[in-house]
Amino acid sequence: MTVRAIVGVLALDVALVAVGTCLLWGSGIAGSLRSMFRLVGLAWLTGAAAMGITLSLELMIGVPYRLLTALVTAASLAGIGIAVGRAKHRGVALRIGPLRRLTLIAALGAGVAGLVLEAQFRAARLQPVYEFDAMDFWLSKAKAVYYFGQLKPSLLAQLPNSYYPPLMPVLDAVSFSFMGSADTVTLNLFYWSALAAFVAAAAGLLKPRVPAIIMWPTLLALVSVPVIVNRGAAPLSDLPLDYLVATAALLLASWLVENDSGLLVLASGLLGAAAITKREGLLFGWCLLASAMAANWSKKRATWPMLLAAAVPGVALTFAWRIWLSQVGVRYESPELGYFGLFTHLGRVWPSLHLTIHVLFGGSWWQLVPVILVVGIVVALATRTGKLATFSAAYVVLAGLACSWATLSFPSLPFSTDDSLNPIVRLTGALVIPATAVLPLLLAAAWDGGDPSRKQT
Amino acid sequence: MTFGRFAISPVASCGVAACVVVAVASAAVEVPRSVAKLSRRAEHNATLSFSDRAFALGNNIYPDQALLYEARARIPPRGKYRVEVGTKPIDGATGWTQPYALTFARYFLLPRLPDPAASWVICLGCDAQALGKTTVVWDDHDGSSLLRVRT
Repeated sequence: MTVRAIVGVLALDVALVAVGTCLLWGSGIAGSLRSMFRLVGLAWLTGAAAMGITLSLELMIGVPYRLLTALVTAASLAGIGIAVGRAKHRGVALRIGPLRRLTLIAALGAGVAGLVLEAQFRAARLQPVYEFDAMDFWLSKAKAVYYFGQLKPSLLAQLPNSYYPPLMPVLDAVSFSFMGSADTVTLNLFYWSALAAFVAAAAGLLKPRVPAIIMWPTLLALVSVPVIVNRGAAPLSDLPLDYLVATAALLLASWLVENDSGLLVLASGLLGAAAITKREGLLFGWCLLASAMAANWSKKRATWPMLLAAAVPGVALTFAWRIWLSQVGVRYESPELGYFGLFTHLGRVWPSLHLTIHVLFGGSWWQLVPVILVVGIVVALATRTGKLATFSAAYVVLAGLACSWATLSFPSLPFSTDDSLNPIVRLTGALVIPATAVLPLLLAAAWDGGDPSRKQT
Repeated sequence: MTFGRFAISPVASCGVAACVVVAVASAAVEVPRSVAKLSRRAEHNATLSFSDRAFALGNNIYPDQALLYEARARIPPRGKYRVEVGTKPIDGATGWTQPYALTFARYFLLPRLPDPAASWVICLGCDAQALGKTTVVWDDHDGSSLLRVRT
């Protein structure tokens, strides 16, 4: 709650952007100073994902967490990015890149997004922790990492949902280190940074690919939905997971059209981070990759192995986490009905699906965003927009089924939209947010009659 | 993409335009509403005290936040404690007091750890005599107290 703590969060943001920028340069996605500036939000998310993954792995192998560990890890990741970038861009000086004029619509859109984010910042700045799950286990884990330098298995065993993955608690601990104390109130600002980074990442990736008149209304409609307004800065892992999956979706969609392998590599890394953010991260990651496979049906021999390889970080990190849990004696809880409970509890199938549809279309949680999404996909399919239409349609269907499966496979969850009884409203974020992030690309492709091949960077 | 011309198909033109118009309308309605809602929340948060902000959800669980602030001040950072919720009347107790007293203490008092055999006892309407020889370290005389079991 002090100025020092706020400066600490700001310093962490700068560090994450620096790490992410080095990695983006290394991956070849940001090749000029201008593109680095445009992709500052993507750099934040990349830096956070890389730091979160590396520090989580370090904790699993027994490296104690300290501020020094975080700083050395950040420097090492930045160094790797620079080394790979130098090898890749050998003999090529860093370009500034051509400057483009900001259009009136782009300026207006960015201004209104800034207004919403500023309001989120003011609300987050002194917001107490009212989320039960945050108090119940997320922040207790984060404090354990901060105070003990480890996940403290003896404490973990006492916590509910102790098997939930460690990425956000680890990043929370880094925030505490930068703030100088376990200030759970100012920690909201780190989650606010994640929201701002996501908006900036989506805008930065979409800007060279779609016109501002399509991009900004879609993004503004998304950031003003109640789910994001109410929880945009809450110290929970749901929205950060959605941002990671959404950014990976945008990168995958761009890869489908442009075939730049750097985009696929980065998407793979973000999906790896999603897998150790929440358990469903792996599930939604598979939904994205399966959708990309469906979109690339005609080129399956050339592209499917690449897409399967993109799943490796997520699968490997999930296995590493489960092995660590079993080593320290913490039980990993599978769904109550197992993974194939669908076949033994057919009576729950329709109510689970109906609940998901109700959350998407029957309430005010997502406002009109799912309707825009469905209309956009139908238009794209009707106009044979191609890969992007297949990708988006497949993801909406698969993610919708995944959300329903969560309710279906836990009979202890009532068919309710009450957030304290059933997480379905939060779960649908992993459907709506990624699909809406891709929507501008889809609409632009539909307008162009299936030829979205505007070039980026 | 060229916006100076209509899209190739009329379906695409109408569909894309409809999506953009609905998105603009949705944002036009929701953005002012969201900003107003967030501003109200910011104003409310600003009226809270430092202790209320840090205690947050605990105010719905503990009848007297001073109990845990006292515990945090007196139990050493590497110390251990236990939470005993008894049947004696506690002024201001809620339906959340009994089930979540330990959960909140665990979150709030870290790095101090809960331990069923600890000498520090966070007592909410508990029977101090049943704990053995105890010293009352702090008491609000409404059912909340911090005790130390003497060995």
